[in-house]
Amino acid sequence: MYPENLKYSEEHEWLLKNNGIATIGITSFAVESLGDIVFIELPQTGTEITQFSTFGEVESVKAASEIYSPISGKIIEINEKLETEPELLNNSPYEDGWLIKVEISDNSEFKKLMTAKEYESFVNAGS
Amino acid sequence: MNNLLKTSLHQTHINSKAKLVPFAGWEMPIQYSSILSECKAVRNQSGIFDVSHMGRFYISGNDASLALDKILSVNPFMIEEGQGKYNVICNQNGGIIDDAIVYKINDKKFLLIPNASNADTIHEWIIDNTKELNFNINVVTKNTAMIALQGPTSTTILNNIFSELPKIRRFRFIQTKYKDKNVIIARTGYTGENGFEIILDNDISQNFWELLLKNGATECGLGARDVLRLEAALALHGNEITEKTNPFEAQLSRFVELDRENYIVNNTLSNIKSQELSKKLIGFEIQGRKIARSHNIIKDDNNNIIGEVTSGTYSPTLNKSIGLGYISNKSLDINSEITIEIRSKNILAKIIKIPFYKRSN
Repeated sequence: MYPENLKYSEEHEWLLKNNGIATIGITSFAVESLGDIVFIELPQTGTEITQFSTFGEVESVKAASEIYSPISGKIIEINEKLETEPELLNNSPYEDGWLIKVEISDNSEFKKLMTAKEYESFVNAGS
Repeated sequence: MNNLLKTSLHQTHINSKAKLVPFAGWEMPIQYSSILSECKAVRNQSGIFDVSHMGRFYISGNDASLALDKILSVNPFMIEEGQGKYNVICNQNGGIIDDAIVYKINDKKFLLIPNASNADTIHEWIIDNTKELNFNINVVTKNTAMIALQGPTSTTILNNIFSELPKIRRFRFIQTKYKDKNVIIARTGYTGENGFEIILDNDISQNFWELLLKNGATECGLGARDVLRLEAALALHGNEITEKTNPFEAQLSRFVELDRENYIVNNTLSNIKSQELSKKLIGFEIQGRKIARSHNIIKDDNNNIIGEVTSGTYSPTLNKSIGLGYISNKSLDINSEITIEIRSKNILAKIIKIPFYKRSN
């Protein structure tokens, strides 16, 4: 039910690794519990972020939630489309709704993340 | 599984894959597809809401009018047969125990609709304050369903279903039949849109719901209902109005009819009315991309705390972040700037006119 090629954090972010670059987003589970997302606050390109610390915020009709980075590194790109089309997060959390791209600074951090299967058990245990 | 009450439309909601949540002791749909698309459906076409959790009390007998005269903020003797009136029910201090709509069927029979969360309290309040009177309260909440049909196409939809439906004016109702069962259709609602609230027996409710869907209505949950009522700046009990708020500071004075000797809080409310209010309800618009939530602190431009947010949301109709709250500083008015503390950050907001949304027709 969760894409196999991604890594997951306990704060419900996903990460796709590709040539030292991580694309980061939030999972379908997170998106569904938030409901309709209307505002997304992201830092600027160039910002250094740290694994498991907050870098942004999503606000839905029902609630606000902080976004935590699954990995440390420098932000090289943010998804500008989300500013005018926040619904991309609800409609396509793993593709069009990606949040940021990060230059990975420490590959050893990956072992603190979950596989799709582990994340699924984690979600099921919590609900 | 749980002890939550279920409306007669519960299975319909499950079939429609609604997200169900506990609400005031009931298991209710908060959303079907999405809150935003449901809001849009109500503003542009029509939506239907299961509001069967709300209280439905028939108050009848020789002293029915007199009993309600003691309790309600409006004069039941002045209501016409076939008319409904919004009102508040206040405690000894003038605080609002609940808001309700009362429908007059005749001099000796009324239908009162309190909120689900306050229905039991209101029941007791009426009994405790009318002991010497000859009337009875018949609670039909669990025997009947209540469906709100709201939106610009709602009149057309009802005309398709009831072939000879007379014109029902705003805050009027009719009693008619559907499948040989009694149905009440009231031109009321809680969305700021044209619409109706329909009360019918449990055993025909699913069939009627499906008929509304077939006629183009969209299923909507309590999530959309809350956004829509806030766009229309309609008060929600527990938020804008509570036992610590009086109807004057809540800007509800037009629903308070005083100079009634039977009204148990007549003198209390007259006193409050003659004094200066300690707080006032305002509407605001957030400058930027955050949403204020209930209990966020409101400050003036010198960083002094002047009040609190009661409700906040993103308004899909206006594409703005809006909210309601109380402030103590009466010099601030429309266009004044205020600050709202949202998650430890000071966010700029501006007082704007309410209702935020007003339908054009």
